[in-house]
Amino acid sequence: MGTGALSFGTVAVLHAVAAGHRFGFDIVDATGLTAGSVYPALDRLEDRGYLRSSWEAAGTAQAEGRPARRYFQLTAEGAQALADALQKHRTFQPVSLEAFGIRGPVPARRRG
Amino acid sequence: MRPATLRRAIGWGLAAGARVAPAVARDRWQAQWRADFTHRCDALERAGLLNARTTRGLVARLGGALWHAAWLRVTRSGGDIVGHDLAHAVRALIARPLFTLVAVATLALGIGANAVIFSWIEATLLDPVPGIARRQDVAAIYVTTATREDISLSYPNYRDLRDAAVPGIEGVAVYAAGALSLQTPDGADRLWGAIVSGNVFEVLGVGAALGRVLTSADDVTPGGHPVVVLSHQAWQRRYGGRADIVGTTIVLNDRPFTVVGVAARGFHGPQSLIALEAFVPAAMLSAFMPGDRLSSRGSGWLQSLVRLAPGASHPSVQAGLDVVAQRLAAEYPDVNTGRGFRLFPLWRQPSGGTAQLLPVMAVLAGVVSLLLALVCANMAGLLLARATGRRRELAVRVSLGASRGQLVRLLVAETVVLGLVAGVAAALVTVWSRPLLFAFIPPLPLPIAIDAGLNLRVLVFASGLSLLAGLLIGLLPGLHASRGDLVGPLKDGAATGGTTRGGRLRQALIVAQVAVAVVLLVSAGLFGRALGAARRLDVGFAARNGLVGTLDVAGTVDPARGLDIYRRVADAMRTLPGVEAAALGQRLPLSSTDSSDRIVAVEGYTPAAGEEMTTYYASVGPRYFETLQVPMLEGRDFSERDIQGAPPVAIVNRLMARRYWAGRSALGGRIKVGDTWVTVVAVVGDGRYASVTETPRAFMYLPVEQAFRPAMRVVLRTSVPPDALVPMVRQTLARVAPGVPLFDVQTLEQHRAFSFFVFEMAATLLAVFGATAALLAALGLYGVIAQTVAARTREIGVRVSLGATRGDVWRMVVGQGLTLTAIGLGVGLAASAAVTRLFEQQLLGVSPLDPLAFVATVVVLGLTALAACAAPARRAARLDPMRALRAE
Repeated sequence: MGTGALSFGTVAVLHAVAAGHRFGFDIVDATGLTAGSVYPALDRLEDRGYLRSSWEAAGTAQAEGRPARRYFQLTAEGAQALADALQKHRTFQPVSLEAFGIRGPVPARRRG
Repeated sequence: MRPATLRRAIGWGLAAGARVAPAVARDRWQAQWRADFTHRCDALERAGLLNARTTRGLVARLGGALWHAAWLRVTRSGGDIVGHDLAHAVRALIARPLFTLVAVATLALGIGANAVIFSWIEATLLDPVPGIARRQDVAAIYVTTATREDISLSYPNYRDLRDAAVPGIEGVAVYAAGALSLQTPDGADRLWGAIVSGNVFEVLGVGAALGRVLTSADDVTPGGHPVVVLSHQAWQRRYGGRADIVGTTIVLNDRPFTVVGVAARGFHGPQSLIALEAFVPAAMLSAFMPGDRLSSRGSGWLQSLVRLAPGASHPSVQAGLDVVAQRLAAEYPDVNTGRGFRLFPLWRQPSGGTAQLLPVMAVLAGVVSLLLALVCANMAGLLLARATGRRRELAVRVSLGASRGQLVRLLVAETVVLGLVAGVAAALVTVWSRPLLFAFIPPLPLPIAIDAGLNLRVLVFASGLSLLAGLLIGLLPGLHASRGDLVGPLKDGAATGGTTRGGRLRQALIVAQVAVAVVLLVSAGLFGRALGAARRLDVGFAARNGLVGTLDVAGTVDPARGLDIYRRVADAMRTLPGVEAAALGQRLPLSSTDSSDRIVAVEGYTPAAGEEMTTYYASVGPRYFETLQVPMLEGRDFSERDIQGAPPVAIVNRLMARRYWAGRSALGGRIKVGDTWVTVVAVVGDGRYASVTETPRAFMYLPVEQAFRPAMRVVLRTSVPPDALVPMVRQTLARVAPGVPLFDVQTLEQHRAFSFFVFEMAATLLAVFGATAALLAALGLYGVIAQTVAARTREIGVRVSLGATRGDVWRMVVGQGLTLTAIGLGVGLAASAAVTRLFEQQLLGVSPLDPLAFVATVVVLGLTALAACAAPARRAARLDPMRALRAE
């Protein structure tokens, strides 16, 4: 599978998993992306080896009388990829939005 | 939605998605989504949060699930199957160039015809006012009565409507288009413009290319805002795009106006399909029309456009309009009783060009859809024959492990490629067809602006249609060819099987094609007959040897001066050699423009509750009826003595006389027009006033001396061919009325012909499409018969050796073809009888079951079918029985 740069949405998905959102619907909620982009992204990230998926323990699900859910975990490669991507996105140059009446900390006026 | 229903819906959605997901990922996909949905539903229900909003969110996620399944299908099916199929399809099509060429040409014909008609519909009905913002939220309001719904607004009623704050309406603007006289260095030129409410640019969302547009502040004090905005086109054409145009003064109708700006490029005014050049605030009305229409509530002269709030529903806005109408009726019962407002989408406006074109476009849309259906049936038949011949190839693929789905996909990929190539060809056809629409529209005294051609919407439409056609024509033969035991016959080494079943399907397709051709030919015949009827129709005036032009004294709004010019022009024209009679009139019969109407009261006539008392009228000069040869049934013509100050008079048509003075003479009857009582002095014959298909209407004439109009049509009745007189007419006019321009000179026959263009267009296009359909059906029939003859070679050989004559064989083959044709004819005639009733109104009294049209269609198609079967039949009849028996 491809090893190219991760798209912004894919990074968001990876980030959400790293932040502890482990199930599809929770990741959709956390990222604000559509289900139609989150689920394929999860599959793609698993293909790349950045995520690992397993099924919920049967006991937990059965206790609640529902089928077991598929959950996702970050792998070491995924953690490295996320770190790289976040580093890259941190390099956004500051812009002034004062013309729109937006002042203050977004983003702070400093270099680097 | 109740929770149980929601869960069931999700279950169905996931079951559907499971069919989309590829086998390798299906179980996991289903398990993952079912678990996630169940968990979320349970959680929401427990928390009591299962409401409309969360339900919508879940439904959106179901959409995401389907998308996920489709994504898996594309990426996880094992190898790039779609790409492989397409590559194979392209190779297969290149390998058979002749077949590919014929198939692409046929499909391009069907798709191209649809794309062209769609581009016309887009330009005339969907986007009649180009250049405006959010066109889907713009509509028009007309005034309605019990019997009419095409009445213009009066200015006071407009103002009240605008200020009523109807929920769902963001703004209402009005306009009245007309000819203006523009002073030029060498005299005067005529220019089409509009008097507009100051908010028209704001309501339509049109900005300025230069300077500024008009605003409500330009439309406050009557006579106090001599400003004008030019259209981008006028700025370019008349002023060469001069950057310093803003701030200059131009003279319109003898009054100076300051150009304050140029409207954005592509906007040609609020009037559908007409390119206007200058926009003047309504407050300046006095510069263009005599009288005080701004304060007259009973005088309708304004067209409206409204901006609806995004998402506002027409029924709810209509309900708001009804409330305003009731209030206005209560406040001003004398002019507003029984009157309502009605909201129309732009394409359904009851007056103007869109109203004339809507029925034509509807018929054409139906026709081209049928043509495409026929093309698809034709192509499906062709491919069915090919697919049947390819069973051996398909059998090999199956024995190598291909599934049925893969076979179908392989066959469909070919037709989809065909369809897409044909779509490209169709797009080119659309580009080239641009001038075609104008070939049908005769010269009009109006600047028609219809920009048909290829745009993004047309392109999307054509691509969608290509894809659909490709799928449709491939699916049927594909499913058919891959059905049953493909490998068995291969093992036996037997000949290709399944011809009978394939043959039956092809026969059914032939029947369908003949049936469609019947519908098209019958319709063509009916419109041909309607065209003939239109030409013979008594339109109420004589068209032979007549000449008409427009005399524009708009530069002189002073009625006394204008009337003096009218008198001098009429007198001078009457003295010309070759002129038998001459007169002036505000309008001619069969004019879709220059229509005026107003509410009248008739002395001694009590209208029923809600009865329509609006009457169309026109100002005419003396001898108008004599010149047009409108029969004078009783009474006297207007004379030179019916002038301002003399007793006001009127002439009515027969329908009006019968309606208000039933059983007695209308002469001496009195009608209240505005504040004036006028006396009827004559009754003239009825005519067709706006179009040949109109319902007969009451009509009233007023003498121009008592009802001045700043533009008149000059009509001449000649004893010589009218064209020959044009130079002399112009010279005479220049002598007696220097500086007064004459426009739109045409013969009365040309004027009348305009009313027929709709019929001519429908008859011509239907004939072309009908002939194409007959040809395609004949080709299809030929293919089927030729194939049958080939398949039955052996059988024919046996028959001949057993004593059948050549005649017997010929009759047998032709009989088979004619049987199919006869079934198709039967189905087609029945369908026609049902379909033609839909456009009965457009047929001018020709019966939708007109026997001539039906019989002619049967004869034409019967002969065509005979010709198509004759060649294969002759071949069959000439078979050498010995050779035939040896054939495999």
